[in-house]
Amino acid sequence: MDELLKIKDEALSQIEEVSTLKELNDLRVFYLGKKGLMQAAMKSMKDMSKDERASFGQVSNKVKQEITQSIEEKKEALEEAEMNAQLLEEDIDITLPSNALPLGSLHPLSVVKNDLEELFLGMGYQVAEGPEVESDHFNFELMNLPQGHPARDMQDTFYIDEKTLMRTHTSPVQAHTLLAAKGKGPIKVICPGKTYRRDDDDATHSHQFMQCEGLVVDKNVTMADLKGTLEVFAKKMFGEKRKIRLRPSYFPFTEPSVEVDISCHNCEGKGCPMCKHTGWIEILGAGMVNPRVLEMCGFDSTVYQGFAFGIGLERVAMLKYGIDNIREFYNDDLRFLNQFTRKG
Amino acid sequence: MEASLKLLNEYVDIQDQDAATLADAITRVGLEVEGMHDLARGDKLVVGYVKECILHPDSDHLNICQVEVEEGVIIQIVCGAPNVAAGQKVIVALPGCNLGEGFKIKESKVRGVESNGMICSIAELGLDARLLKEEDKAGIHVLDENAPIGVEALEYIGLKDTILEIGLTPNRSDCMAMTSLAYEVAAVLNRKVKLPEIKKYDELKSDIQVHVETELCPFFGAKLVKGVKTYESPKWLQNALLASGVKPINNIVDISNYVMIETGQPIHMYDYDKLKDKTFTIKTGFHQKEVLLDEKEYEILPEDLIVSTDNGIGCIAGVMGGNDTKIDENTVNIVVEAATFDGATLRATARRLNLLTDASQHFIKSALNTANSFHVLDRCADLLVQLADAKEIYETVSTELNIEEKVVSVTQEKINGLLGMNIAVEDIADIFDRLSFTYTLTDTTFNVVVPTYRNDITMAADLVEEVARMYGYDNIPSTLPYMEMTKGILTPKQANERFVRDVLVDLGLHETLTYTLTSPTLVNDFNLFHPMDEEVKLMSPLGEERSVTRKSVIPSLLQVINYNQAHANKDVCIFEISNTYAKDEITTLAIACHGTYHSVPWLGIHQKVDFYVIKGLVETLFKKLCIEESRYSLVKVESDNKDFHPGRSGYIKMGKDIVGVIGQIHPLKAKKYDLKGETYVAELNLSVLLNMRTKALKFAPIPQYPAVTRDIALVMDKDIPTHDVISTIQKSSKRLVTQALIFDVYEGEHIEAGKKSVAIALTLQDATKTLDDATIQETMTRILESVEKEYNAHLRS
Repeated sequence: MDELLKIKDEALSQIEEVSTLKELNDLRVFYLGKKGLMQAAMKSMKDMSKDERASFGQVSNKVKQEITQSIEEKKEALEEAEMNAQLLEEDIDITLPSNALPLGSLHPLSVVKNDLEELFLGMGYQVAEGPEVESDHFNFELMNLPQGHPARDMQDTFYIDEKTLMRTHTSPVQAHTLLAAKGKGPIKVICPGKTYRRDDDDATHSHQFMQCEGLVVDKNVTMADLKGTLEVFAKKMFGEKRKIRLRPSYFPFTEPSVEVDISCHNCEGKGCPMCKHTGWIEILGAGMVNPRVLEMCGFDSTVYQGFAFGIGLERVAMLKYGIDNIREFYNDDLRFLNQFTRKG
Repeated sequence: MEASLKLLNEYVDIQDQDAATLADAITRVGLEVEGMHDLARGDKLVVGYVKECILHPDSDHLNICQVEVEEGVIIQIVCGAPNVAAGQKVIVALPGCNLGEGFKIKESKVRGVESNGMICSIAELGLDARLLKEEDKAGIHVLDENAPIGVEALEYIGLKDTILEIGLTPNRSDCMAMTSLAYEVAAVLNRKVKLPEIKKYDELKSDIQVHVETELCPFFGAKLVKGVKTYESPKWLQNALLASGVKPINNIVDISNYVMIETGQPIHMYDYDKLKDKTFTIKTGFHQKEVLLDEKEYEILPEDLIVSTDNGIGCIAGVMGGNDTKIDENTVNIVVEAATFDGATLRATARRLNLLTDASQHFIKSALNTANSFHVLDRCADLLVQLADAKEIYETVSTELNIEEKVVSVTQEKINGLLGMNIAVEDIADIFDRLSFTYTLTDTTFNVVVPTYRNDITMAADLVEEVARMYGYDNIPSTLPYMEMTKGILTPKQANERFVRDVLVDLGLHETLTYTLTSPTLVNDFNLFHPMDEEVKLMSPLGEERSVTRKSVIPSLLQVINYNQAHANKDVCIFEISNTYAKDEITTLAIACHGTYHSVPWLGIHQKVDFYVIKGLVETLFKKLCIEESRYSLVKVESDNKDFHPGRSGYIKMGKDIVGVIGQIHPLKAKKYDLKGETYVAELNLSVLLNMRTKALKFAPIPQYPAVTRDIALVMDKDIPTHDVISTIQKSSKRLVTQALIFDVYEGEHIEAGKKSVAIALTLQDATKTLDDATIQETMTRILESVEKEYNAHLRS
């Protein structure tokens, strides 16, 4: 009996001492193996009385159990320690540069175009397109700018031949859309696209630029609707606090015509260099579709009326992102483009 | 235009108005005041009397003057003007006077002598030098001897005035006339316009004749005035012209300019005595070189509208007078012309001859009040009597003045229906009253007689605008259209185009935007989709380098790479979707990559741009657009291609059609576009690719039975396209090969020259059952037989 207890004490203390799984296994074999100490101790049982044997058996089982449990516990502890050591070994510098894939960017004018499209699609507008190489008829005549009209001076034009030109505005898409509708409303479109004027390129002029036309024609569309629609536009593009202001103006294809100002988003209307200290920024032209345009495009102007507006995308992008030179859009310097990898 | 408030005050009472408030008010009704300035500057300018003037001891041109600037106050001023003298009344800038542009008068010493002010010339008061006479620039301004000492000098000489710079919209060009402007201001202030009184004279019968032989001249009036004398205009007239940006010349010329400023009607004057035949014939059809009144020669073309006298050029209508009939200092008898000419014709002539003047703008912008022509001529005659001693006034000779009364109707409902407002009939009536419109009102219908100076009003919408702008746009509410629902969706092409942009951005490319117009020397480079000989060419480009529309976007992208290389941006991976033009409009996508595509140096990742990077971008795009591999093929470009590297470039073909290209640009092109290193590009015809029908996405069940893999290495001729071999393998396997992964391509030792070894991992799988060994064996044998038969490819031993 004492022997058994001695074995147990020795075993437990040795188990306590080992530091590797192999040593632990050796101990297990040494004490619990077929040729182990416990097995040897059992051999003495055959010389014992029945009672003795019974109590010896009981004790030996208990000892075996204790040793086994101790080995198991130690094994778990050693395995965990081994894993921890491994983890320590696998340590890396998580601050080193990542393997991020290259980051591309949409051109800022595409971003503005997308934003506008989303806004107006949500209000039930379609996106209409038209050719950039356009006929004089669509670009001017149908927009109520007949030959010799003084306002043609305002739009110096790249002519290709007497009847063909690079479109000077996106307004001809109005005519394409109206004619396609064959005199029947409602019409609700925006027409973003490239336009061209015979301007020398400098910080504020570009011979190529982008516009977005808007056109709504139905039986009861009003100037108040125009104002409300443009207010939605101003808030979406420049923030919820924006207000708009209409000023009388002139475009041959609208009557009445207005210039639209938004309250300056840079200074909240207090006055800053961006708004030339007026608190207002001129942003677009608009008006009620000239009845002559409706008639020329097959709509009965006594039944239908509507509004139209024209937004300069460069102007919106310049104001929104604080870009002060229109040439930036067309130089495509990567140091410029790279700034538009993030969401706007 | 520049409008003098002092002159405006002649036509509507604005003396009590603050200039800035007035400017704001007229801006709100549509006459945008873009700027405002004082005609002459200087806040401490007084009339002074030069009591004494002695030469400066240390100078041969400076004078020391004792100047009385208010009764009993004498200050010493050193003055360098050659014309200063004792006994003169002069304009004195007192210490503290700000003459603008940072020039401030202070007490100082000039060569040791105290000087406490400045005696001024007119030029020093900040007037536009181009409008001034030589003497006003050369020396101090000497006032009349009765000028009261100490009074404010600008006020005294009549130059205290504020000028509004108004940006007129083309429809309101009538406001170039002070009277029209006055009607606007009167409407804003609710005041009445004061028109000048014109004295009537007993008129003599004229021997002038007028013949109009063209429709381009709706009215021509001529008035003979005899016995004029030429001298300097009175100060008030000179000042009125200066304030309007016109240089005073002499009383006769000044009167014609003044009347134009007042009425908007350009006036031309002929020397009656220089005309042999006193007939004016208005016609076209002259084709000759002619010296005009500026003594320069111009070429007149048959389409130019001419006022002909003595069978020659009396005047290019509305543009410039002839040299033979012009008035000069000795002119005594004058024919005054007031006419209406066709604006478009005149514009073409004036532009061609580079003679666009302020006067011609009145015709060009249809700003004339033709109905007023007789009054204009009478006004001229009256002023010539008053200011040029004219003795005899003759009856106006003219074509018939056909002016129909223009009545435009509008209802209250129309006004409110278009504006979305609720304006009362009385308020509308009040607005028309303020605008001096006459009208009749029946129920809610206004029949408005449009004033003859308002050529812009022709229809109801124009009257709605009048109401809106006077009522104030700020009072219009904000609403959204109340109408039938419409759908807001992109067309498939629009949606696809956006999708392509997003895919390429996700793949790390930057979108660019470049010019459509390009140079003829570049227009056919990389052109794949348009005929070589078709061209869209501008008639008058700004320069050769932007004179035709591009047929490929690749040249533009190469220029962007060049620009970026010059600005130290080495790695450039860009794309652009743009329309290209010859006869047809084709939307193309161009991709260009240069340098490194992806790099993390410390991880050893250096993915340089090569053919396979670009090919990958295009393939990914095709996959995303669900254009299956089976629908296109990649075929090497011609061996003599000069745009692309013949060995490293291929066309993307669908059937016989080329829908795109991928490849390295030819070294010759790299040189032409000044690009160092290798540049890879792709261009796709999106007009075709984005309009293709594609299969709808349908789920296929996930295979239930296991797959087996077999690796093979095939030796074959070097120039056999690997893709073809893979196709054959797949076909001959009866579609059991679900994947064929190439994991090695080897040439060199142990492989015969001219051959290559391609190692392929094949995955075989049957969706309906587990493959047994016999089937696998049989399939592999069939595959090897096929590749041997078709490509003479053998298993590598």
